[in-house]
Amino acid sequence: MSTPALAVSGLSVRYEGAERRALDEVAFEVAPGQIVGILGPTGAGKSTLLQCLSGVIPRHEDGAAMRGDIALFSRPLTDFAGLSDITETIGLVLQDPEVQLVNTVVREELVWGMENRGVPVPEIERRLSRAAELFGIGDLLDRFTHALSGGEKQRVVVASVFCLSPRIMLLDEPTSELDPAGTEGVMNAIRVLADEGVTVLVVEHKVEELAVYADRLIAMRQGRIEATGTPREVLMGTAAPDRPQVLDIALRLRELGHWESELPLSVPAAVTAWEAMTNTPHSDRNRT
Amino acid sequence: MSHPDPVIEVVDVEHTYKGDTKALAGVDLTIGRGEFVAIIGKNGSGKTTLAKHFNGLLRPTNSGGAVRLHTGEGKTIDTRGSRLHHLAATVGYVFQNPDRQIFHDTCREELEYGPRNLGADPATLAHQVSETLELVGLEGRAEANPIHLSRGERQRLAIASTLVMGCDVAVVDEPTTGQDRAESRKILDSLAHHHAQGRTVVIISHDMALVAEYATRVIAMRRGHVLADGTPAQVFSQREVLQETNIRPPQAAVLAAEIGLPGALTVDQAVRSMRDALLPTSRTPVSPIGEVE
Repeated sequence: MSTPALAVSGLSVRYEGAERRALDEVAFEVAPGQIVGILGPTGAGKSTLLQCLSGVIPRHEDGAAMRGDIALFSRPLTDFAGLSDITETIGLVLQDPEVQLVNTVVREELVWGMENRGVPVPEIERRLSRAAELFGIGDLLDRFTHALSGGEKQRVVVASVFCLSPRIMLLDEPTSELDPAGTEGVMNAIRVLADEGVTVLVVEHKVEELAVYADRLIAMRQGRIEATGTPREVLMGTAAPDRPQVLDIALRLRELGHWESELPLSVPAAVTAWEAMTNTPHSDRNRT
Repeated sequence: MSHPDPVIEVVDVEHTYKGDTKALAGVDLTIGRGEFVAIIGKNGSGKTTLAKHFNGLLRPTNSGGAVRLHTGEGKTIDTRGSRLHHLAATVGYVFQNPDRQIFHDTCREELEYGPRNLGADPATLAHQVSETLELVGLEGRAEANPIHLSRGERQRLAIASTLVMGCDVAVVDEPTTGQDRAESRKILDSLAHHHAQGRTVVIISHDMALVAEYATRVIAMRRGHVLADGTPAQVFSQREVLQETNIRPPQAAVLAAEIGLPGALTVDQAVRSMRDALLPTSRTPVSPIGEVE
């Protein structure tokens, strides 16, 4: 692997007064331009991990003891001057969009960070229109942020982080309040950015979307990484907290001796496999 | 849909937020006692606006619109002429974010608060509270501080604080947002237990897999109108209609319909009908041995 975008080793975190570690010897690497989905039940340590990667822990969290090494593009996180330095490379989208919105109007929210960074005006305008297009928020630009629906707020917050043009995006359940079309819109936008070289780590419960959009999955439980690999590898294993329904169906049928095709991760794949299994006349089957 | 024993009647209801478009543009429906209703639809379709009319949090903005509640004692209340606390005795509402409604230091106190304000007898109250904690699977956490509960447990606590009021109808807005599958199931199981006691449950949800499994009736909203209304099987089979509102039936239902086995909505049902479809066409059972020959 060329220089990894993210390299984590021996990462452990314990919150003050907690019985067990929130993160326990976590280690992994992510290549640039990949979408990595992080799965796991509540309490697995997913949000804590994102906070460590973005430097919030330990720099702004006194109640958490951390040890281990994190490097962004081979540069240790400890070498960064401060959060503002880290955010030149990393953009973090928190679980609750409300705590991240600071302006009254959507357009100001998107422009604010870029102005603070001294981004030239033509570039601000270019990124603004790109953000509007990518995240489908063109018609929201002049709306009040407080009057947006939960799903609209989520899209605005992800777009505002995109506007800072980070090389790595950390997204904590960015689609929890979005309907299927909205979820797909955000996932498509992430895919486009990843194809342009942005590295994306996304904590997400929507396993059916992750199965299709993620390059790799990391399954966590109780602070540990239980499995990592391609979506197929991880979702077929026992560490997956949930599976796409079509994969569940295929696995159950395979157990009953009825599914000999490749296991599907999406509905179209399942339909194709089913047709291959059923439409093939028996004479054809006998030939093979 | 008419119902022999209505509990909520919504008649020609419109709702316009100040200076905005119509969030509800003429809704007529009746919810029957003992139904488990799921309201679905994309963001901004009017789901929450409709649900908030069920207990008077919002009132129709058109003069011809009305929402009437039929109490267990056989009384009919029009939400327009009634005080909120009066309506809340019949229809309880659980908000999307549990942290906006939890304010006590222990789960027990959180549950005691509402009934005590209504003058509940202390002896029966203790019993009610422990029964409700058990119903939502928090029986061991009575003395725990809600801030030490997981988000899902806090969601169940918020639901419990509504259920403990003993209202006929529980309306729950997006009960499983941001929850993992296991926790989502616990939340829906809590509501299913409540429903099994003869109560009416209304949820707003984007999780079609859970809707297919738990609801007895689905109401699909689009742009302030009811787009489809029926059993999960009836609604999820109207795929062209649903596409207009960006609702996607659960993968199991989509797969079953695509391969010509409509009717299956859940993983269990899909596995069964797919297995059955394989058996008769092959005459001899399809066995691994048969495949290899």
